[in-house]
Amino acid sequence: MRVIAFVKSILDPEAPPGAIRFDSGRAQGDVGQVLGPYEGNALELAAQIAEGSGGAFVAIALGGKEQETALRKALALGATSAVRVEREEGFHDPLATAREMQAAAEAAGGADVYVFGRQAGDWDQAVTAGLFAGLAGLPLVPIVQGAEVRGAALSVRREIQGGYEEGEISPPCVLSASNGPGTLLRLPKVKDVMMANRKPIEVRPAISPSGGFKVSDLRANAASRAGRRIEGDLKSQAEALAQDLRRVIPGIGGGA
Amino acid sequence: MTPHRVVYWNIPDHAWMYLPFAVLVVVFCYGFYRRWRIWSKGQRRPIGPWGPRLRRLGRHAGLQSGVVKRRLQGYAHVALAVAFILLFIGTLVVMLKSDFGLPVMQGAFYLWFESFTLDAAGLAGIVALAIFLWRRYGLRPQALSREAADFFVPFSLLIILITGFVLQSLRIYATHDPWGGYSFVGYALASLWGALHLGIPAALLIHRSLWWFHLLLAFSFLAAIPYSKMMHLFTGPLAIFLSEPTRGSGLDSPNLETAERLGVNFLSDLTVKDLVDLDACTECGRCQDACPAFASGKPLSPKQVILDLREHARSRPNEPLTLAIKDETLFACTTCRACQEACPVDIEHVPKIVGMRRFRAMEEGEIPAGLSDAVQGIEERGHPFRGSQASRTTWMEGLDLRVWQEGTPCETLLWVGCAGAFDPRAQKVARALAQLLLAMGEDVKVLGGRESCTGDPARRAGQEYLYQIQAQQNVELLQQVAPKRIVTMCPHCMQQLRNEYRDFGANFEVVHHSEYLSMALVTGRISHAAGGKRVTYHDPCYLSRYNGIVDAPREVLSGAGMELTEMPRHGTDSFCCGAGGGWAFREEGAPRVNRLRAKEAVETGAEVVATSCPFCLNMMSDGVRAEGGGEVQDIAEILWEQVATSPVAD
Repeated sequence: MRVIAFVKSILDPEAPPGAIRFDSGRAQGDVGQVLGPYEGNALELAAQIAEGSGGAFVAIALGGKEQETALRKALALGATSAVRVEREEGFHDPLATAREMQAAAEAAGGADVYVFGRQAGDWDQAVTAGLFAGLAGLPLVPIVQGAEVRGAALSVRREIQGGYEEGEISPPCVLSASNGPGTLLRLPKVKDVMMANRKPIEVRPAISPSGGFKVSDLRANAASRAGRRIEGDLKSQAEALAQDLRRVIPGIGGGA
Repeated sequence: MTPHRVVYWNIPDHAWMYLPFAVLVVVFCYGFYRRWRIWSKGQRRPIGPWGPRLRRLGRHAGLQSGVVKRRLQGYAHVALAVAFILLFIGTLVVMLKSDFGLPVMQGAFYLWFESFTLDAAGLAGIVALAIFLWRRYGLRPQALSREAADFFVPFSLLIILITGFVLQSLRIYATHDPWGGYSFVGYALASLWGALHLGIPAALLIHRSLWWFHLLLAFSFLAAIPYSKMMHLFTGPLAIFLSEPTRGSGLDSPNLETAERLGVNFLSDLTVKDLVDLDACTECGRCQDACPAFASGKPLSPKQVILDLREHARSRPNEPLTLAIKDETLFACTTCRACQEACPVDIEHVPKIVGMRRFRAMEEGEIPAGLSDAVQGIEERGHPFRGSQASRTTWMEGLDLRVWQEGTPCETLLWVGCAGAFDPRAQKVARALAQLLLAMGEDVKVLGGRESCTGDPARRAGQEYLYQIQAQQNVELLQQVAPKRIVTMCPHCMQQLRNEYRDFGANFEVVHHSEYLSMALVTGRISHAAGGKRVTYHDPCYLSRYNGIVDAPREVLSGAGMELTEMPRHGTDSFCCGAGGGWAFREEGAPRVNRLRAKEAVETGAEVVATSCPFCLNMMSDGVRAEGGGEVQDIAEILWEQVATSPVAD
């Protein structure tokens, strides 16, 4: 099975809000780029399917040079090639993004399985995989936590409320990966990392400028800056935390 | 008449002994060759400089300073070794007389050396062997195995010594030796034959038979040396000579771009020293007794690692080492080096373990959960904790501390370390230290967001590639900063900056805060109020064993007016807190190492447990709290409390 994984580097989500400034619809700051958390799951899933079927695995990212962090990681995990679609950083209309992905996937020769992270770690929209599946006319299995190649089909395990479900799907199809024991991103082998650093990344122009919804202003939520550290011993820390939670989330722990 | 004795008395056919002697030489040499063949598979490392190596050889092999750390068996071993050497010299003297005709077996030398001294040596050897056998089979400690070979060595030596005395006594009895009294043990036994009215012909017959038995047993023992743990007579000193003569890292920094294999997975990936170590092990079990992983029930015994590797080297030398050592064993190690400190022949366990971890981590991408997150954190964010690089200066908010700017000079650079920057408990130590430095009027700066992990957790986890990237970046940055000195509160950072970064071109003056504060107290740069609390000090492994720094932190405590009480295991014999080797980032099942150590600390009755490592601080805090003890503080916090409350500081 040929697999295409869509990956994304994002500003380190552990950075404090104060370290990030917002400018022209883009979040910027002296903060490193990291692979989006669900994109890590997507990479692991793609690598497993490619290994299980003996197929090729292509990684595609949209954005500037900063996206090479994610693409190098994909190459280190066994991606046979990596493509970056040159596009401005920042918010983009999800449908336009899905179209760009579809064009890039077609240019890369298409695939049997398209793997996404369930949602990007920065904008959190969780719609791109669905839009891509709609545009491509392919079935979508969302929130996948593990997949196994069974002949020409894929046995897929996905999270549902309160448990799991397993089922089978015949490619071509679209999967959106979530975090779970079966999608925990492995550590790449060092020789693969060294090889990945030497491999070229293909750069393609975007097919069209973004349309649709445009961001005109971005601000950090003032409340999110107002964290406080609870001091004291464990017992008093726990009590203070419980009090804070009761205040912030009405109804919590009312019977206690 | 000149005192003397007839060599080979009552053994007219003694020339036949050269036949078994020839067999002995062949068997011995073949055994030695078999060992040599394995050693020659190892990677060769440059040996020099010889001076420190020879001094270490003199201390550890000559004076047996490592052996005597355990008094009873240590001194018994010294006695046996001295006896062995003296009796060997005595036998050479006999050879000089019989084979070269030199007149050495006579006069005062004969009376006082060949008779009196050798009798005393033989007696000391018997007592030592009795102590060994009593410990192994009477006390039955867990660290000592009781296999057939464990019995064979001391028992055959004991028989050789006893039969030697019996032979001597029969000669004295049969010849009425006028100088027999100098051989006081043989002389006493000879009087026994008299009491038993043993006939002279019978004495001669017994003597002749026993002489051949004694000779063949002694030859067999010597021939068996390369096949038994008695090989340590040769490999022990060799292992000591080849060991790291200074308290460095013991880890090499291979060129990963050109390396055929990353890490150690075959005998040929080990060094000659590593392979000699396998044959130097006497199975004394001191490493196992000192090991925190073993003490806390983890599947690691440093002794068993060496024995498993030795067995592997002998039985399947071309097979991968993953067959011999399991992952759970490799990754149980805290790299605390207690095993190496305890080993009387300087076996280096930790570099072998880290070498094998390197293979697992780099060639196979296998690192235990938790530790792998820390490694990924270093790769993605430049540190192994939660939080981003952008938060590196959060700890110093409100302090008049400056971040170094490009193109500006730097007198004292405070290397905060990832723990000091991100761990809430360690941040308090960083603040205390910074305030002390500022109170001293130091021109002190930090690197802020440009400081990045030294890579120590990655290196100990086996991820040498990531470590080398971190090391190269940090050295490059520090060379640009060019500080006069670097002060750090983290022994792990210090170990990197001071020692292990030398492989990457670093040559900085790096001091641990304990050294810096101790000096400041001595020179009167810090004034403070009197302390008076009863404190016990936990020595961090990377400070004490890796760098030999044990006095400075105690000087800070006593300088701060604290009353110091020691735990039974302290200084370079300290017991690990359980954080090393990447365990600070892993989930540890019960019993936890920190609880074992905390128990020792609490039992001292001290009001405060002090330490000088952010990782030890966290582990000891958890452990001491669980054991119902008092406060755990870094020495900088203790001193700053005193300075802050001092009228001078006000």
